[in-house]
Amino acid sequence: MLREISEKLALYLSRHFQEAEVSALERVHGGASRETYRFRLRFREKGEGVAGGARRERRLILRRQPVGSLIETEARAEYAAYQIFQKSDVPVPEVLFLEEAGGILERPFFIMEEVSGCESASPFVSDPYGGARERIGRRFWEILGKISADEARALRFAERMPSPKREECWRRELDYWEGVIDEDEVEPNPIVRAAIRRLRREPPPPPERIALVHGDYRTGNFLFNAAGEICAILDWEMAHLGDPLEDVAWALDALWAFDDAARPGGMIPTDEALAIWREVSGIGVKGGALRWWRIFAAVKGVAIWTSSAKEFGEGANRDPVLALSGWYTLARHNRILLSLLDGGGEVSGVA
Amino acid sequence: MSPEVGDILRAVFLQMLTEVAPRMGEDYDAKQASVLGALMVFCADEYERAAEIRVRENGAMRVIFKRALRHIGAGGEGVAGDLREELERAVEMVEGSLAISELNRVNYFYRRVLVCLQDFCEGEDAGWARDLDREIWLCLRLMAEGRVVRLPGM
Repeated sequence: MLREISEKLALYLSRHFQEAEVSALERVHGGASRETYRFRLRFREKGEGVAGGARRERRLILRRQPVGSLIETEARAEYAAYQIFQKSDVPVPEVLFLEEAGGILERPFFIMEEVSGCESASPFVSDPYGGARERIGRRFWEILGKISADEARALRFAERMPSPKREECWRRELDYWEGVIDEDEVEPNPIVRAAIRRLRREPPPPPERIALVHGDYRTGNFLFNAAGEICAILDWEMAHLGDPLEDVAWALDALWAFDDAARPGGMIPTDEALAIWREVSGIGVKGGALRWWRIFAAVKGVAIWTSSAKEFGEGANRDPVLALSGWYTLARHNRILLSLLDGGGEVSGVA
Repeated sequence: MSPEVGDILRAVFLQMLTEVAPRMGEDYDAKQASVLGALMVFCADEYERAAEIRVRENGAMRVIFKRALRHIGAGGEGVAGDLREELERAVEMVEGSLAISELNRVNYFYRRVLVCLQDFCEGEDAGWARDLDREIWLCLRLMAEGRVVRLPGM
């Protein structure tokens, strides 16, 4: 299969480069919302003759829509988010080409540069950042503050993707993810249904302003280096416009903290994280609103894992990662949701 | 005595982890092998407890439904009437066997009735409804705790 993809990719890239040659293609392990491959491209720029010198080489990433995905997202939303943050304070890889129709690779895909010399951490291991956790944690929350604060880029995103009214943010998100559960639920889940009813009875206040929401901002979705620098924010496939607290709550979710809930994502304590985000974004955090979005984050998680279970169970996608998500991760998120509904998971450090 | 399914799966997991995964050249394949190994351990644990979990959950929900029938009156109309019918169906329902598919059939029906019952209780301003709601929360906790899945080595 890798050989076939490699050949098709070379054929595709020959439309953009002379003498395009693809090698060392390998699949990257990780989320099941996209198939991710890294490869080496050797090429000459169009119009550059042999006399132009030696062929150049780049390490690139292919992100392709899988056959059955646990989240239904458009490649263009992810691509647009990467494009908007090129050469900004928010580090992202350079994106090169988007093919929404899929064409030669059959399903929608895009190509971007590989950020080398970095790694990502698993949220399912203890202390994923070791001695660098403080530095990485401060930068992680600072970058989120910049994403939330950037009104100009949110406006650019709004030119390509729908923008809700401030008072509609919570309902739009809740309607969407409840719809996913309605559609994909095989085993009825009374915990998530109780949570959804609570969220509808006690809606949050509208956000101060509409922001670009990453949608999956957490440990595991950024690259860092040995010096403790964050090199790239990845996995923008759920990017949309909405309430910036949605990203804050998702990043705080206990699922990403493994065994130390006091340090979201295995990084810095919650109080410090929120203080940094508030300062950088200039957005206030009200306890009731953040509490609403934290319950919502767990509902959204349950929805995603419910879809994983269905995709795997029905055979639409037999990636074992989906079975793991639909079993282990769903069971964990149900417990997190219960603790939030019971009054656990109180958020400190909020106004 | 034949080896138990759980023991077989744990042995396969160890082989995958110590012998198969390290020999896989590609990082992706090695990680997929680790995920498969973890799933085998989950399956081993589930083999031992799956029937007990479902029997216990079904029993706990049945007790709640019987209690609810004392308060949600016969001959009621609308939502209360429909709910009473569902509750009556639920308490009369019996698992035909201990096969997981059969236990799940009852479990899924019970879960749906539990969702409707809790929704109903939340809308009632009466002591019995608040008590029932509290019992339902206890039941949900029991269900969530009973289905905890532990990663290998934890």
